Amino acid sequence: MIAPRPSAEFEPRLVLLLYGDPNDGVTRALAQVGAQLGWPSIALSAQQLLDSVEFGDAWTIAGHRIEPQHTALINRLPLADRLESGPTPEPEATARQAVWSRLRDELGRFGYASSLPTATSIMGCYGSLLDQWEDLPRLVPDLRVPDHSAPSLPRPLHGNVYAVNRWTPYSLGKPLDEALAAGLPAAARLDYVKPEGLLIHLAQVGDAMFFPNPPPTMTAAQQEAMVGVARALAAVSPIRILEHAFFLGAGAPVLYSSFPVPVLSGAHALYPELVKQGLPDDIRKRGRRRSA
Amino acid sequence: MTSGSGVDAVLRELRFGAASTADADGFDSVAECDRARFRFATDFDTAESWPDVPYDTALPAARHDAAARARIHAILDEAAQTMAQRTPSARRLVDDQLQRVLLRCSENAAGGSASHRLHVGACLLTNLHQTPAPALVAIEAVTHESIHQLLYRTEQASGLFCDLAPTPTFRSPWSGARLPLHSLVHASFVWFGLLTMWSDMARQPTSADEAAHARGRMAHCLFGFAFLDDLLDSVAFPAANVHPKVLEGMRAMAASTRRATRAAEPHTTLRQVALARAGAGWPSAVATGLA
Repeated sequence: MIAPRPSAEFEPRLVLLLYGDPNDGVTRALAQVGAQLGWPSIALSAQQLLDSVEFGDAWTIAGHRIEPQHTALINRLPLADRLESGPTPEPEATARQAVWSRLRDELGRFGYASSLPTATSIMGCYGSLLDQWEDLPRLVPDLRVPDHSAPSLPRPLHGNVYAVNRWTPYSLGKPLDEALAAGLPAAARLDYVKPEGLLIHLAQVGDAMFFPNPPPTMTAAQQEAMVGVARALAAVSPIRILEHAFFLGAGAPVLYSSFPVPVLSGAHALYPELVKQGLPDDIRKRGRRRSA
Repeated sequence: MTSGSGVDAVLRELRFGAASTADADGFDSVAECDRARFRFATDFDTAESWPDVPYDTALPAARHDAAARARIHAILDEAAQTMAQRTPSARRLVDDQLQRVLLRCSENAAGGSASHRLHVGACLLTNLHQTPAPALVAIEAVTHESIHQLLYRTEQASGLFCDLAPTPTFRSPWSGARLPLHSLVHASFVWFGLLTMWSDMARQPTSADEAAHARGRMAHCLFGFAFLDDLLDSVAFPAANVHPKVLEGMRAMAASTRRATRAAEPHTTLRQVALARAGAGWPSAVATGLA
């Protein structure tokens, strides 16, 4: 476990967990260690948020007041819900857009938020693999991502070329000819040169992190490089809880994806400890307002 | 570089609903024959290859047959008359900014529209005859492309809004497409204009289908603006490559849409917020908030 450096900035009066999936790794970890974070905490399901919370200067739920500026919010609202460009939205999509936009405003008022809704996810994420491979190297100088090509960004690719649905960050896709034969839709298609090596993961909460599946061949320099990437991201990113996937061969690691759900590490025995160590530190350091 | 007055003038021009309110006569002062048809020339036949589209517009195969041409003329006339009646300021913009519209078809391209800064005053409409609700699609397409012409001309007169480099690209919060910086900057103004146009149109829809279409488009425009500030605030966004007055204009549009949204959706629970956009007064409340 790579532990964060101690710091004291923001002291919330409450930790509020908003969750969609009770089996989400972070939600389960908070159920286990939430009492040890050092602040009172409550959990609200997405359904409760929809039906029972009244917005105002403070949020009110069943007569209780939640003051956003003094509260640390852990956003585990549904990730799977996603909007894509397309024809005129149906009425239900229009309603969803209204809720989504309002949530962006409301969650943005909290003293700390583990992530805010983005245009691609209510939980907040870096978007498709294409978005990640284009955007993240601008956030983290020297970050290596796979060489890639998309219909909107055509580039010549050489080597072991794969094609993947850009919206499936936990799939490596298939060799190009197989993917095309399988009917990968052009709108979702992303071609890339598959880097050499194994895929390994790094779980991160703020500045705390651990490798749930470190290969015995991983060198100290490689470990440092991946931790460096995660720390550099943490320095500039509003998304505080992530699981990264890197290709690790003989040389420098290559980032494949960053995802806000700990799909692989969430079930690891160390994950609750990661949340217990990482979250309070991140809340204190990243909270935007000191408590009165 | 761009003067502040250039950006301010563009933003004034794009507040179609406000102009309609101020000019209650709308298009009445214009001759009846002008109301019936857009002023631009329709180009079905020139051997011109439009840049950056996935088919060759110069090929004979890209030309519409006689039946499709007749259908397209009818669609465009319906769009022109609807705009003259319902969103006269937007109609005026189209007549002022678009001089020529290329109309082409292709099996290798989806329906859509395109402008290019090398062809100011002209645009390309592809497969217009195949779209559902074609008059409404035409209204959005010609308004969209007219705003691009307005922006190109403003840049020609006052200087570029931003760096024209083709990379890096940014995810558009409206379309989801990866756009170069200058396209993203233009998109902000285009989607703002489309929002005010659809808000204007949605005040008095003539059918349930049209009302649903307009509300859907308004919601789409508003959704992108809800995330524009996040994009501009990102350390990855090259704010230094955008003229400060343009950046200010983009933030002002985002703030304006936020205020209009909140005014139209003052509800205090998410359940109520989810229902708000089906309410009878929602389009007018948004339009009023934007004016």
